[in-house]
Amino acid sequence: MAQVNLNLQNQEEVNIAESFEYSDTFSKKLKIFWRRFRKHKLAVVGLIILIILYTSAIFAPFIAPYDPNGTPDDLLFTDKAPTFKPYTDFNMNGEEVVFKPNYFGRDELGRDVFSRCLYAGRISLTVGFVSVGIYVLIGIIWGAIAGYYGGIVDSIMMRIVDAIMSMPTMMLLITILAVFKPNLYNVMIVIGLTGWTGVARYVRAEFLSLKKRDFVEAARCIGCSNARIIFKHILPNAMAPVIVAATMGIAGAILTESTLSFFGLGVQPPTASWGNMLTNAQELNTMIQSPWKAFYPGFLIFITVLSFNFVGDGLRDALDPKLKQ
Amino acid sequence: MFKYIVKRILQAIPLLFIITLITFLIINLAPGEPIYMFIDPESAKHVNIEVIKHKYGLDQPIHIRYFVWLKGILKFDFGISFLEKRPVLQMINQRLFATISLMLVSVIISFLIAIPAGIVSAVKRNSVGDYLFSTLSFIGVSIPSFWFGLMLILLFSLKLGWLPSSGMRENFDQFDFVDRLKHIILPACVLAFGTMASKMRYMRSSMLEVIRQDYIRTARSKGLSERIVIWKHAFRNALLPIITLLGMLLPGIFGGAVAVETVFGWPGMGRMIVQSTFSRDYPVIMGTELFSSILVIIGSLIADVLYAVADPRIKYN
Amino acid sequence: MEKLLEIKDLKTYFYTEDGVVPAVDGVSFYVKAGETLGVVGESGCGKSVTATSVLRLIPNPPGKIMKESQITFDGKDILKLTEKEMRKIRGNEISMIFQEPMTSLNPVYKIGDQISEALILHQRMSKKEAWEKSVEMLRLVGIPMPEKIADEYPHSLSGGMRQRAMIAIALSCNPKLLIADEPTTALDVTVQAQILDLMNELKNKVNASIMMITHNLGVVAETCDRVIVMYAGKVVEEGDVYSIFEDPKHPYTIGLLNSIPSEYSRGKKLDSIKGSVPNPLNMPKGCRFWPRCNKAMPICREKEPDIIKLGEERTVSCFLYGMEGDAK
Repeated sequence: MAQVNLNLQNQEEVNIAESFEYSDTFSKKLKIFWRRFRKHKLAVVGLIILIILYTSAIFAPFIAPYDPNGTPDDLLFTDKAPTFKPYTDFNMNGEEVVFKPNYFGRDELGRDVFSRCLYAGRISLTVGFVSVGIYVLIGIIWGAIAGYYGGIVDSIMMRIVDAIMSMPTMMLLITILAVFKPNLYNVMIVIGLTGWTGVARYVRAEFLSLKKRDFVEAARCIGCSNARIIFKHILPNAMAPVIVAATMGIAGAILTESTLSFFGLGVQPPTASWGNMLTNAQELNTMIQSPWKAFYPGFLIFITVLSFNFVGDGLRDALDPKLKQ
Repeated sequence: MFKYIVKRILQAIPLLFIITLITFLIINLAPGEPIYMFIDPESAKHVNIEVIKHKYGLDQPIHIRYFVWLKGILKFDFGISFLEKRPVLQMINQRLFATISLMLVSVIISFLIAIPAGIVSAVKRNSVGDYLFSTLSFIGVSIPSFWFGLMLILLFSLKLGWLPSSGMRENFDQFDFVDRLKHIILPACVLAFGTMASKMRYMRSSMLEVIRQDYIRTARSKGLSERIVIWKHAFRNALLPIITLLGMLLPGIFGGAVAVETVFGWPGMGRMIVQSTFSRDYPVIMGTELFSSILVIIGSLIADVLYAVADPRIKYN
Repeated sequence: MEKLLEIKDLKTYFYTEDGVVPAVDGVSFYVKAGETLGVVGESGCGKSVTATSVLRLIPNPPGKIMKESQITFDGKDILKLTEKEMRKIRGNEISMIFQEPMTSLNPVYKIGDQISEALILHQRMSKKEAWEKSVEMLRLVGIPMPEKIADEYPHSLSGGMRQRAMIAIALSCNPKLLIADEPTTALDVTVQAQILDLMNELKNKVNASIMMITHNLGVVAETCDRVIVMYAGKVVEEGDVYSIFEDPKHPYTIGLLNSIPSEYSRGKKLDSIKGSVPNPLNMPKGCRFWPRCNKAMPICREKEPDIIKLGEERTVSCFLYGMEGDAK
């Protein structure tokens, strides 16, 4: 219909006007990118929250009012409710001293939940990056090879992807972690090893469509090697969906790590992670008496994951307007 | 149509093969002797390890061991639990109904909400409702289900006392519908909320795609009301791809069920696998993992066949 | 003959993010009872939007029919009707056939059901009556084994058969006006002629008027009584089919006619109109055709030409005619 055509034409013109040109300088690309990203209000909010969370995790030793692993005095104040003012009380030696406020209360061993949350953030926020780093790498290589070579190589590689995708990831992770030892490093590696299938699919699809394009033909004609064509000519063009998938993947990885740690199959105590802080909180009488122990760590997971998802959505709008529905 | 179904079943076979291979590799790449995957380390102290190895065929090369193991799986031999000393399949069988019913109820709840929400978002695009649902779906994928479950228990069970927090009887002999309903509401809602988001977004984009189609314009030009155009002509077309989405979402629903069952003490497979990790009951862990993967493949097979039945276009291709 | 449909100063604008698109900008014409009116122009000239405006099926937002527009159909002011009253007209008194037969039928409902739907709605038939009438309609449009085809889904039919089914749907309620939007463009050449013959034949049978929208002047010559030529949202020329073909006035019409191959042009290079349809967001000032016109005068860039009446049912909108007297 005519009006649809008209609208499409306009849309195309807008896209052309705003799309990144090969000749654009990096700073110009960045400018266009930022202008588009800024339009997504929730993504901007998410980005600000993430900056705050990462800053406070990095500077945890300066911000945390207490030692996250507890001090002898802590045992006197088990399950203390949150306070926002400093208070005076007796310490182990019977001296009356001023204690700093416990913003998020204290846990069953009297440790300050706020300080623990800050240190736990270091773990949880790192896990996302490391495991997604692993799986983006595997996914890109796998998808690139499958998409570039096609044929029987592609069929076999994608069948394996299908198979891994149809295994319930959580069950697979539990199995692997039960067989190997559950600890921080294994969790990161295992999430990385199981999560790459989505990236592989994206990269493969991009490769299938890109390898038929003229510039790849041209590269082949001037005698570029396969590896050079893959990494120098095709891959940069396939990066936009991968960056989006990776950002949302960090969100997923943080969620998975916290769930595993909650089961006791992830980060092991006494090292705090947001997930394992909740393990002890799930007993019913603890929940009634000291709900803050269950609320704050979980809320931080939620906010972090939500922020990553918003930022990912904003990146999608900014990097690849085609993907926006 | 028949050909399509046969083709689809044939496609599932290599998947099952790869899944068994992955599971087998996990067992055999484990640190230490793989023999402890088959026998309880406690009881192994008193016997000659070499004898046991021979008994389980562990002295054979790895590829032969795989086929021996695979033969067992094909005969539904998933091994024997260390802890309970009975076949794993029997234990799974006992838990299966609880898991399936939880998943089924949650899928129904999520569809009942996601489908209308997705349609409203698509039809009233960029309206307040659209933004609200889209934000809700972001919350849905971002909220840790175990924490959300705990918060709901805190609110509805502990503070308000409306619903039980856990304590679903493991034996399903005494069937009390109301009691069961009370138990299932919270866990099913938590599970549904997590998986709702993707259904909603998928429904929205599917609907956006459909309402642009020419046949929708035809329907309008016939003088049909907007209600009939959307809920009859567009709805059925937009709904069809959602059936296959269910197949893709099954692994995630299984995964979600693990956390939800653990938090709510729901006597299903998910809780069993988590409990088994503490007792290092490897046959149960592996059996549950393998069994749930097989269920997923069967589930998506059913979804694809249903799609073929529901979409008249398939018949002619 | 009485005027069945009269359009006066129709303006349909689209409010997009980038600006206002005046897809139809002050179009006036009429369709008489029993005649076939051809609406001709390049794609993007507003033909389809005009047709969709008559049925009030312009998606809003972004589209909007402006206040000063007037569409009178069979004595009713269409733009003043409520949505409910409008629905009684759609598919019943005015029906429409679309360009793409492959996608214009709903793939998940049977052909018979899709024809019945309008009958049940407008003629208050029972399901069974409607089904029988649907079969009858399919037979009427020349589909073999109509009982069997009614029970089939669209995907088992070829493009030509689907367009016949669309015609069956459109004519099922005996409409007074049939709007055909490029009904043969997507079909094979051999099928095109069959469909056009069928439409001519059925038009006489049910005594309907047809508004035939097309860019194909061959179709116009074969089917139409009168023609209006549109360019960039405006009517540039109007007349009976004979005068338009024999004595075209507007440079655009002349260009169009010269660009079709004929026995006279054999061996010669075909003319084409230079340039392309202007960007609707940035229409040229004055006459919208001047940048492509080989007879453009300075005044064409300044003022929009009025509609000049050349005779009974014959108008043109160009400074070449009539304005010269004023200038001298």
